[in-house]
Amino acid sequence: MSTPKRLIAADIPFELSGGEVRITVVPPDVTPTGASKAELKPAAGHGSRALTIGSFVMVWLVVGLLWELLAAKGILNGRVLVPPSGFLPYLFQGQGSAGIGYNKVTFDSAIVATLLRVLAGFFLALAASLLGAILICAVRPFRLALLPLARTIAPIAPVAWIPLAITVVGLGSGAAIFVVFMGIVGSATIAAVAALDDVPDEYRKVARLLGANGANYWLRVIVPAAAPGLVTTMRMSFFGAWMAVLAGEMAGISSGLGALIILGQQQFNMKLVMSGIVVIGLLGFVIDQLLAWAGRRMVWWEGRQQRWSIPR
Amino acid sequence: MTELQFQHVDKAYGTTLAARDVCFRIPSGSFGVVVGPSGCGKSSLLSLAAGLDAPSNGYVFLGGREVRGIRDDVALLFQNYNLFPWMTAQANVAFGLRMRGMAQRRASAKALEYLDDVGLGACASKIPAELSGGMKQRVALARALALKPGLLLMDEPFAALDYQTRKIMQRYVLSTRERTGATVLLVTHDLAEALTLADRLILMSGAPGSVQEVIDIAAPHPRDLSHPALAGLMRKLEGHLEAEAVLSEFTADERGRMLANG
Repeated sequence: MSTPKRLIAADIPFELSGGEVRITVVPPDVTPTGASKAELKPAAGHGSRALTIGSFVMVWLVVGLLWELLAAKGILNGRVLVPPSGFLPYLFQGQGSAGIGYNKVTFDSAIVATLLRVLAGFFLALAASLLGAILICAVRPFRLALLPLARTIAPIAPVAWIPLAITVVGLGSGAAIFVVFMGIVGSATIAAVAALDDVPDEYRKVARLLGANGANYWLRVIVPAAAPGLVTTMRMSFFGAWMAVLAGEMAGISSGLGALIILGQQQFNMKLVMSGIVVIGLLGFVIDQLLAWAGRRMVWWEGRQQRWSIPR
Repeated sequence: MTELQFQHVDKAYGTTLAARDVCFRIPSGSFGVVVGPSGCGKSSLLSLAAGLDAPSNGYVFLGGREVRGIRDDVALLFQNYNLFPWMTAQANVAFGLRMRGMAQRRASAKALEYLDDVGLGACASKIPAELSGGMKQRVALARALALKPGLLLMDEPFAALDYQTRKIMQRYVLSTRERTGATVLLVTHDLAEALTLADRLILMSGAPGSVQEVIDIAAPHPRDLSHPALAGLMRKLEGHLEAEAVLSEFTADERGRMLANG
C-alpha cells in the first residue's frame, strides 16, 4: 500500500444557533502492514477437493498402520480382524469369491450386481419422490393424500421390506431394487417437499408476475430455486440406498456384495469379509464424490457465488 | 390509460388489520410515492395493486378495471432484486418475454436491448452473484421494463444501494417514466427519495395503515430539496413520522384516546 505524499487537512467551522460545529478533514491513519496482493489467497476451489481426497487417503493410511501395529503386537486377533497386509493382496489378486457352483459369488460379479441394483433403485426412487413432491406442493389434494403416505413409509427400515420383496418379486435383482426403492422413497419425498416449500415467496411472486405458470413455473423456477436442497436430498438418499441394498443382499437376496460378505463369514474367510467391507466403503465414497460432482454441476451458480463469499 | 385507484380498501391478515379504508388515486403516467412508518401496510398496497393479493374490503382499479389477479401490464420491483440466481442477466430479462410466448432467439435479442438501455449490455452473460447491488437492480428494472408495463410498482427498490448508486437509479427511473409514460407507485422509508421522485405523495399513518394525507408536488426535475417549499414539506413529513414512531409505542386504544384528546 502506498502512503499519500501530500496529506490535506482543513478545518471548516460553522456557526449555528445551537453552538459551534467543527468539521475537520484528517489525514488517513495509514499503518504499513506489508500486506501485498501476493498474500491475498483466492477462495478454496479445486484445492479443497484435492484436500478431501488427500485427507481420505491419509486417515485410512494412519488407521491401516495402527491396525497393522496392533495385529503385529497381538493386541488385535489377526485371524478375525485380518490386517490390510492380509486382505489387500487377497483382494488385488482377484481371489475374492465364495460358494461353489450355482451359489458361487465372485467380487467382479458381486460389484456389478450391487451397483446396478442400487443405481436402478436409487434413480427410480429419486424420480418418483421428485414427481411426488411437485404434485404434493402443486395440488392440495395430493398434499393431503400423498404426504401422510410418505410420512408413514419413511420410518420403515429397508430391512423390513425384504420378506415382502422376496415373496412378491422373488430372489434376485428385482427384490433388491424394490427394497432400495421402498427404503428411500418416503424420506426422499419428505425432504424434496421441504426443499420445494422453502423456495422464497419472492421468487414465486416474480415468476407469477412474469407470466410463468404450469410446467414452466415448476421446472424453470421452483425446481431450480429448490435445487440446492434437492441435491442434498439426493446425496443423503444415496447413503440410504447403499445401506438398503447391502442389507437386502445380506438378508436373503443371495448375490451381490452383501451376500459375498455373509458367505465369507459362513466359511470363516475373514480376508473375504474384510475385503468386502473395504470395497463397500470405497465404492460408497467414490459414488458419493461422483454425486457431489454432479450436484455441483446441477447448482453451478452456487460455485460462481462462492468466489465472492468467505471461505469456510 | 393506467390510472391506479384504491377505493376504501381494507387489508387484514388473519385477525391483524394491516390497512384500513385506504383511498387514493395515482393519475395515468404519474409518479406516486407512499411513505409511512414501518408496519403501516405499504408493501401490502403494492401486493394488492399487483393482483398478488385481494383486498379484504374495498376495490383496487387499474385503468378503470378492477384488479382481480395478476395482469400482464403490471411489473413489480423488489428491494432485494429477486433475480433468478441460476440465470444470466440476459436470461433473467428474457424470461418474462419467453413466458409471454416470444420465441427464444427474439426474446434474447430483446433482452440484450433492454440491458443495453440500462448500461449493462456487457454484463449479459454474468449471473446475479457476479453483479453489484446497483447492477442487479438495473437488471431487475430491465426485466420489468421489457414487459412494457402500464404500471410499475417498486417496493423500496433502492434501499439496499449506496448513496451514489441510489441517485443514479432515481434519475434512471425518472427518465424511464418520462420515456415510457408508465404510471409508477413506489414505496419508501426515505423522505428525501420521496420528495425527489413524487408527483403525488401518499402519507400513511401507523398500523393499521390509513391514508393521512395526499400531497401533490409540482416541481421540475432534478429537484433541489433545499428549496423552501420542499424543505418545509420535508420537516412536516419528518414531524409526522417522528410522531408516528412515538405513537407506535402505545396500544391502539391508547392511541385513539390520545388522538381524540388532541
